[in-house]
Amino acid sequence: MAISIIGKLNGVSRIAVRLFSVASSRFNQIQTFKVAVVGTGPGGFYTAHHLLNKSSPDIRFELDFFERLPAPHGLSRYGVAPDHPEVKNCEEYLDNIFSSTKSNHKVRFFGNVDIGKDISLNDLQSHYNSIVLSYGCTSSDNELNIPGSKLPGVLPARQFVNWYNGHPDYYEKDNLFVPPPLDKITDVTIIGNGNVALDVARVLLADPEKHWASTDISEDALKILKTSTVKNVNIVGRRGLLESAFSNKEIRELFELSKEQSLKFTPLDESYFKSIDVSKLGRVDKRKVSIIEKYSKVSETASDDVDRTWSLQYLKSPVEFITNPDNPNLLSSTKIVMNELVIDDLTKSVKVKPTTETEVIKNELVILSIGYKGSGIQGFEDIGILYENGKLFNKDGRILSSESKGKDDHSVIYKKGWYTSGWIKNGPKGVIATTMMDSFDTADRILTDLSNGVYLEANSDNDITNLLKDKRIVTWGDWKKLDNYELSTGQQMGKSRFKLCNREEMFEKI
Amino acid sequence: MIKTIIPYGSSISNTIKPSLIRFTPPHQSLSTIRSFHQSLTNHHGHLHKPNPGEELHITFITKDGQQITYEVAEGDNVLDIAQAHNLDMEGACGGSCACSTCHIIVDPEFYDEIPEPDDDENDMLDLAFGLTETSRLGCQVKMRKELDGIRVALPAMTRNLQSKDFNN
Repeated sequence: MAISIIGKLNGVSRIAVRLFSVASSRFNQIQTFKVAVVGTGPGGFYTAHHLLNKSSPDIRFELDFFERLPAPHGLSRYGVAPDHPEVKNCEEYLDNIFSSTKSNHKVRFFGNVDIGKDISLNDLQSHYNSIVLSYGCTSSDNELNIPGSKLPGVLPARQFVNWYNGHPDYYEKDNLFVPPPLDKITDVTIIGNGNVALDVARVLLADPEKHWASTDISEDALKILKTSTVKNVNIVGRRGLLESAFSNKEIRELFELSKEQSLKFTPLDESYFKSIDVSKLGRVDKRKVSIIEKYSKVSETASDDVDRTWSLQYLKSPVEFITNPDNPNLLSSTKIVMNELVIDDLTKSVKVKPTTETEVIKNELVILSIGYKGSGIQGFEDIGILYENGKLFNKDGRILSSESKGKDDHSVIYKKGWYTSGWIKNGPKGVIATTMMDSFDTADRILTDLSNGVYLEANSDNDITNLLKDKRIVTWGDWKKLDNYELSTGQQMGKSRFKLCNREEMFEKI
Repeated sequence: MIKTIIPYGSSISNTIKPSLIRFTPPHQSLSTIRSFHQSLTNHHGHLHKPNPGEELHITFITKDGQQITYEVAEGDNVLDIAQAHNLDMEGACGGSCACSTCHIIVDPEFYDEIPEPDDDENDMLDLAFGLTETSRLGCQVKMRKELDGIRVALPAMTRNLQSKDFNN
């Protein structure tokens, strides 16, 4: 053991007594690294949190967050359903970063700054030692290439979700998103059965007054939900019950909601359960079958005198959406082909094969919940970063140079100093806990690289704010003002939060 | 290969809960000094001091196979115990059973001694990496006399996730 005395830390004269082992008794000097984190959703803030909390004491970070929107938290604010406030607890990680007074690190928030437009990637590269791209993977939608899929009665789930969650892109005064006319609709079909599909189903099914009014759902959306005449929601999957993409938590929640409210699940045919050999299933699938079977039995005897019904439908693929002759903004039905499962016994992969059997589902609205797509940032080509196959070209969070494309694993070239985390690292799938673990992983890579001298040479004299002089920046203090306004107004209204959805209105409160 | 060393924690700082017995391979001792630094800012958890003669024992098997035994009090939960000793367990939800980041794998010999998981715990476990038949959430397992001597493993994280882990 040895003791070193270090003065002048962070501009404040102080004496720090540090213990370190003889084995590493090199002269310890605090080294400062400038890090940029692009995007402030869970991928961004979990990476930053890990960097700031797990770094060795002789590293000091100057970390800047960049956020395209005026408000932080990404998908936690704009993706997670309003009735899942416990999931949004993850936002505290970002708050903690800014409220931690003990730390020597310096952290800044630059909201309303669009990387690629307001700041070029080249500028980012010359100002920071390490750059983390965690800007999400939800800029567009997977498409279904069948007749009618471009009809106005076919709506991607992402748009519906962003609308009810008050995403500013959907509340621009001169480019307002037009929500589906729920007061003219009785039957809705949701294609896809992941957790997003169940979120959408809950929004359409649950009583707006009892279930949604107290949440942070957009007030505009709430108004329209109150006029809704939706009576029935079908959740359609192309594969079988076992392949359902929802998690057990979410399906159980919808069943429980049906018990509490005037909702009825249309029971599944018993043959579904008889055809499944439960003894061969793992713990999660076994529970999935038992939950659905249990609630399906319960609803067999439940009263039909309900406000709304819903169903899970399996082995069905849409082949055509048929427009409504009375209202071109709506559909009249969806043509469906029945599938059979093709199971590869070796790889256990489950695919579907269409049969000749068809069916028509009556619906005025279809919501496509078949996954998201991301996109690159302007300037990727110039600096050699690739967005392809639904994610950034990377290895374990280190971004690979586009020159490496097609090369084998041992010959890849890293794009020094560039990292990725969150959905843009792995593709748009996985719950927040997955993103958390995975972001910690990326942060570990960054720490390893910094210890080994692998980082960009940043021009330390130039601060990034010099490039943002003409820009309306939202600082962390600004956001906290907005946050307090939303929370206190929400409290007066009996809501967990009153979300401001329009950018100009957000700026007015800062 | 396993050797007992004197707990460094109690002699350096009383902010570390006294760990009375600590097994660690000799080559780990340098790195534990490093983790001591981190524990000062990070450790949370609210453990009770066991009454003399009523100490219960719990052994953690870490991701790298290290076995560490602690003496703890009845009523403390496994997440708090792990965090107080700076073991790598996240508990991101603060112990409210809203995430799966305190997943532990329980020695089958003791599994049935723990009251069965409720639906909320099962909901979260179903999202955990590397779920096994004896998986539990650390925040939901409280130490009781029946669990004296229990061994729990921290799951080694699987980086190559399967498509099934990605419910969207």
